[in-house]
Amino acid sequence: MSRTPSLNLLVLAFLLSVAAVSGCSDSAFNTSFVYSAGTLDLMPEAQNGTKDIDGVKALLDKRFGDPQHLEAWLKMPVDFGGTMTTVGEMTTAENGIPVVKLDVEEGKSLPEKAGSIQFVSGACAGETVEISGWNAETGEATLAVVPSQSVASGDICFVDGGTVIQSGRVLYMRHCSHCHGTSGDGNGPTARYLTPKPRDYRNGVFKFTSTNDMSKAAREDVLRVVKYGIPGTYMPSFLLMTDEEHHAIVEYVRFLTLRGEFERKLVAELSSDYSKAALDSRLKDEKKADILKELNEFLADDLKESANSLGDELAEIWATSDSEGALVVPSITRIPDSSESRRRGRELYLSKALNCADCHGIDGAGNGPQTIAFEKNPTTSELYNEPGLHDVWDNLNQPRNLQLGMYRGGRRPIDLFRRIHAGIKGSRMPSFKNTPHEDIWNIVNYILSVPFETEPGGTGIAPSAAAAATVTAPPAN
Amino acid sequence: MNQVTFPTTEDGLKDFMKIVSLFAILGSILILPGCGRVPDFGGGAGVVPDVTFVTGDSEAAVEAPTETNETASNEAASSGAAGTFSGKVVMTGAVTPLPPLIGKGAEVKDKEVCAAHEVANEKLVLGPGNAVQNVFIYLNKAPKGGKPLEVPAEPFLFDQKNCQFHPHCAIVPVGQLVKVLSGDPIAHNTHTNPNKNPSVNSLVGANDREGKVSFTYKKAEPTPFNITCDFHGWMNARQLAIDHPYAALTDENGSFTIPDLPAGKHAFIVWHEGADGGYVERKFEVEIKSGETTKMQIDYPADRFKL
Amino acid sequence: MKKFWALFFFFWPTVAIYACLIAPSRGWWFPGPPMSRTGVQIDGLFYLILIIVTITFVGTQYALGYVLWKGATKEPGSKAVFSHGSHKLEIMWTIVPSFVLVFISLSQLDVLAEIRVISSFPKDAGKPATKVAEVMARQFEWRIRYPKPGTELTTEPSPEDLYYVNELHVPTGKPVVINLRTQDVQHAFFAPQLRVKQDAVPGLVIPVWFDIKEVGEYDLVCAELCGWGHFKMKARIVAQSQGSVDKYLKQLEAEQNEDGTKAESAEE
Repeated sequence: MSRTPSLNLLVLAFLLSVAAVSGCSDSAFNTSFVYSAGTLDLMPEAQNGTKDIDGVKALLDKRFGDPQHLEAWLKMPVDFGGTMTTVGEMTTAENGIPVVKLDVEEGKSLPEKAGSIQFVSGACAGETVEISGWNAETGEATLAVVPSQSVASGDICFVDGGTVIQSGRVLYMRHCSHCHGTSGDGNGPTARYLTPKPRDYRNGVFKFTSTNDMSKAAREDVLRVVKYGIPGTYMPSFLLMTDEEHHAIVEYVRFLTLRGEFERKLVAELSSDYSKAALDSRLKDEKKADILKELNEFLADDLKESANSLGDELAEIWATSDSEGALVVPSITRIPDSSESRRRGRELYLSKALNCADCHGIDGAGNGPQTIAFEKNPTTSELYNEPGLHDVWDNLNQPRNLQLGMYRGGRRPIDLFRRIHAGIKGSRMPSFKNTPHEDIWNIVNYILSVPFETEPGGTGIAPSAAAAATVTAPPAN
Repeated sequence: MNQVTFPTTEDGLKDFMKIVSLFAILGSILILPGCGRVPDFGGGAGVVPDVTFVTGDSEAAVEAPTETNETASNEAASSGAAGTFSGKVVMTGAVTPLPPLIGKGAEVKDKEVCAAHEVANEKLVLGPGNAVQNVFIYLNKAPKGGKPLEVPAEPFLFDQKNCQFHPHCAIVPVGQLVKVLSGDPIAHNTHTNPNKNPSVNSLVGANDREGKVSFTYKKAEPTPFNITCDFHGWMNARQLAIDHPYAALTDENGSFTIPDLPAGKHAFIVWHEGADGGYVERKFEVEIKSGETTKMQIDYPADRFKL
Repeated sequence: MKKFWALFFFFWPTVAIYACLIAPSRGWWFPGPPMSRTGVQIDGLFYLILIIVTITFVGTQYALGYVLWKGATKEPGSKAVFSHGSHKLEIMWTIVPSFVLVFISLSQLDVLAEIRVISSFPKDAGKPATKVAEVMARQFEWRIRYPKPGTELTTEPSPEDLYYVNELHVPTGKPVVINLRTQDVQHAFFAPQLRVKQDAVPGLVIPVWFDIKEVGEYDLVCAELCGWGHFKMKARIVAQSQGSVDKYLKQLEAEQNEDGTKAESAEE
């Protein structure tokens, strides 16, 4: 029949639906981790390696994977989920169904329910086998399928391994990735509209911590931020999630942070000699073939070996940051708030020895002389484009306006104490750890009074408006 | 041309109904599979990833070669199979000395302290005959047969006076305690920016002669790094953390000496903060003969100096 | 064909009415019974209007279907009836609906006044209802500021105020007022189970009151599109006895004054 308008429409509809359906393939929606600018600045041969030698990208991917297939590097101080056990023995019943008896460490117990076993060492390393029957007391797991290789006694395996990190990734992609990015690089789709920018975890630096200036962030700090948000920024509070969800997100954030830091450490080993800029300057004196030979030797011998020790370094510093020893604990209880304490705090604030007013301004408005000075990037020694203070991510990061009463890291006296004592990591706020704790408390009392000052730079609220005593009763938990 | 109007005849209506029903069928094919399921087309938020465990020590630990070499190296060093490398770094070509960084009494922050004297620009410090001070000469890695690093027990004192760091350049062994002192009645904050070590950013108290701020480098750095003061942006110093003793800094005559080098060929890194990219030479090759001192002059072309 | 269209336009309203009839049993209805005093009144008004509108709907749709069917089953070739309309009918269907509408608007005036007019806010034993908190909406969370226990809520922050986020504790059994503000764009304070809804307008401090009957946890959601996170801008309203609320506020005060030196009260 002739091509009537209705037939044209029909053909169009058919073609469109074919096009739409064909897009719904598995790989169409795959996400991937990005590589840092440092990695991409290396010579391509250093990034990619050769067929037999792992380059930076391969070393990283083998230990952390991609978002669809995560690798859980046991060295990392991340709770991947599941219980680690060893195989006691594996027997095969007459009907061919394999049963594995698991030994568990002293003091640990097996979970009540179990869905799968991941073999970590031995012939079956890397395999996941479903459990069809589980007996928590005896530790016997009836497997749904026969493992492809033989399972020996002493093989390490996980029961329901990876559940925390799996749930963490799903939650992270749903709630966090649009700002913080798939790889935690602070460059998700909405990040371009936000000031301050979302955190880029890959430096391993978190600003609002409870630990001392040389430690990383504790789990508790990341958990606090997830639960209560950061007022004054776009980070909202996720209080209404359950505790398991909080835990999963915190662990996945740590996973991304460790991945980013490991990548930085690998790049630090290579960048001085094998970055693109270094290559250009070396080509003036050396031949490319020699440089490549040197690079391959380095990758094959040194870097491969140091990957493990770099991992150990990371594991150690992050594990110590989580311990009690890293916590900043004042040596004296808070000096009660009083106009005397605030006056002393203001004196300290203005003193040349502490220099607070230089950045935070004479009235605490965050407009000190440093905020209009041009400063140099400490690593490249070049001036920044705009005046003011910057952070380690090269974003403009001006000092806090204390008159607003908006405290990003928390408004408890201990939070302010910690900001002063340990500084704010990644920013220009230095650590004042050698200042006597009485002085720090006086400054804290002054800071808390700044939003309520009757005149800027004044002496604080009139004494008659009762400065409240610190609550001394223990919390009614 | 092909005007789409609502069909009015019986036939037209039949066609129309056919189209409507086809659209309905196609639409349901596209939409209905999504009903009642979280869409998980393969990637994105809905997908639950699979997790594979990687053990900590998947690669067999390689025998650290330095251990076996140390015993051999001690013998080598004590048996005299070592030489000395000494020399001078001289800038060649037309050199314009740098003007002072801060004049006396200039309008800078805390000028009573920071502009009390004239502050020279320490980026290029020249001695007699255009000898260059503060050039780092060092080996990338400990050489085979070299002697181990002796870490001094006393701390390295890193001072600042009149808003200038003293010394401007230093080589600090890994493991030695660095104490930051201040001879100024104002606050400074010392901010280190190493590549492989953790960075330190701490307030240094006024007139702190005890060195309450102290730290230790745990790893060797590939190149000297910058130490700044955030309060006084012009203040900076360079330090190199090393894990072997084969490094030297040129003095006011541009001279340096590196003793006890194992015999053989060595490639030294020659580094100066003013050079473009920092490297004056990436591989300065020297042949060391045992028992002898190899004296060489290292030329630093003026065009490699970047202001 | 004409019969098809007549049935078509008769079919869908029937489906609609059927859906409304089965809706409560399928859960396509209110999120639970109204848990506050105003909620009961609002639900009553809703049902009143629903009944009026249903009667009207059934009537008009039946009339439409009837007319269509009559037209569809007319003898082909029969002459059309010339009609100048019916003046009486037109007066009827102007006056009756206007009476109905005026009735509806008058019958809801007292509830509206109670919700919106500050001078009509209910009193709690003769005194104005207590202002328990300031709720500051911001993208995409709810920041709560309580006055120090024993003091009154001030419009601007006071030094000893207690702060929390996404969880509002209020006492049951008496009317309480919150000051609704927003830090950035328009949001709306919507507690569906309490049938309370009030837009938060930048620059204004709007008092919102409710009287929760039973102890429990209620949802607080945002009902004004405020950005990409609007869908997840949720909080909890925890209604407790006055004693429990006081205990909670004391605990909040202790946590907020933590100076890190008490070993037992080390963070959660």
